[in-house]
Amino acid sequence: MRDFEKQWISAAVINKDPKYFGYLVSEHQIAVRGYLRRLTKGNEALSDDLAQETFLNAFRKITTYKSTGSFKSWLFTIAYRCFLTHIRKNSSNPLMNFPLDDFEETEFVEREGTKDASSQVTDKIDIENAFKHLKKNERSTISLCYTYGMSHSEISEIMDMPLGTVKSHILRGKEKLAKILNPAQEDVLC
Amino acid sequence: MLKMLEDKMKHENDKWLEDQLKSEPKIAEDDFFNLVMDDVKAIHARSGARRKIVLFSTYLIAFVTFAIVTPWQWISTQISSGRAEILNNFSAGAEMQTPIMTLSVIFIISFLGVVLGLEQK
Repeated sequence: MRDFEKQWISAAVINKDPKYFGYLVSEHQIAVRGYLRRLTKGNEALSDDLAQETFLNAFRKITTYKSTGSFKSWLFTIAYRCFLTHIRKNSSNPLMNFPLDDFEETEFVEREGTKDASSQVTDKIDIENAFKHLKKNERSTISLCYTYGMSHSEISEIMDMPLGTVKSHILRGKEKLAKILNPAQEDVLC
Repeated sequence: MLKMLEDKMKHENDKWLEDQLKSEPKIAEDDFFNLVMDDVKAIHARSGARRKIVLFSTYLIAFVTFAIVTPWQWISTQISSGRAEILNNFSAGAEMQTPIMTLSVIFIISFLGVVLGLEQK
């Protein structure tokens, strides 16, 4: 954690000052929104609503933040809980087209032909689309691990699950992604 | 030889995948920050108002308790007798009521002074 971030956190915790909390929001909003975008399978409106809820919860509970862990992982913990609360609340709502476990099992359609590896834009779109075929725990663990650089033990704390489970989610998710993004690789993996 | 080639390919594929996964989803520049901060300021204002109400109630209860529980009569007697001793005046009985009132006012004013001083901080 950088020094200025520590100062902002102290000022926000001691004074509950919105100004310093604002600095923290601007510093972490991209990461939190991005993480929730992945969790919600690219649903922009929903992910931004959840991100807003995350920051408001963080502001309300800022005095409970313990400086032993990173502030970002604390925010991710709140974000993940907001996401879980949202899907639990809406799991019985037939109007909500949202990832339930059945929906997550949807098989992806493997692409035919070769992949244009030279186009970064295509890769990025492919990655985001590929994430939609993973289960929510796989999407979460892989994003936290590779995109946001969290260690396995940090992910285990964020998602409140055993370290071994985190590792197996990452492994399974990576195998699925490899299969989706590069069908030719399937032979090597099997 | 074939095994080595397979391992190498697998390693290359893993590396490529991990590189791809490093990229964050694209987040557009929008009004998100202002929306969050408006809500944060509203929460801050609400909690400030709530804090003031709680403080005011606490002070009011403390003040009433202080006014009721303080042994005005005893304090007044002690001070009067002390003063009488000093002034060598033994006919202080008639002046008893005045010190009680004066003392109450002095104590209440000092209490309010302390409370307002704390609130200023």
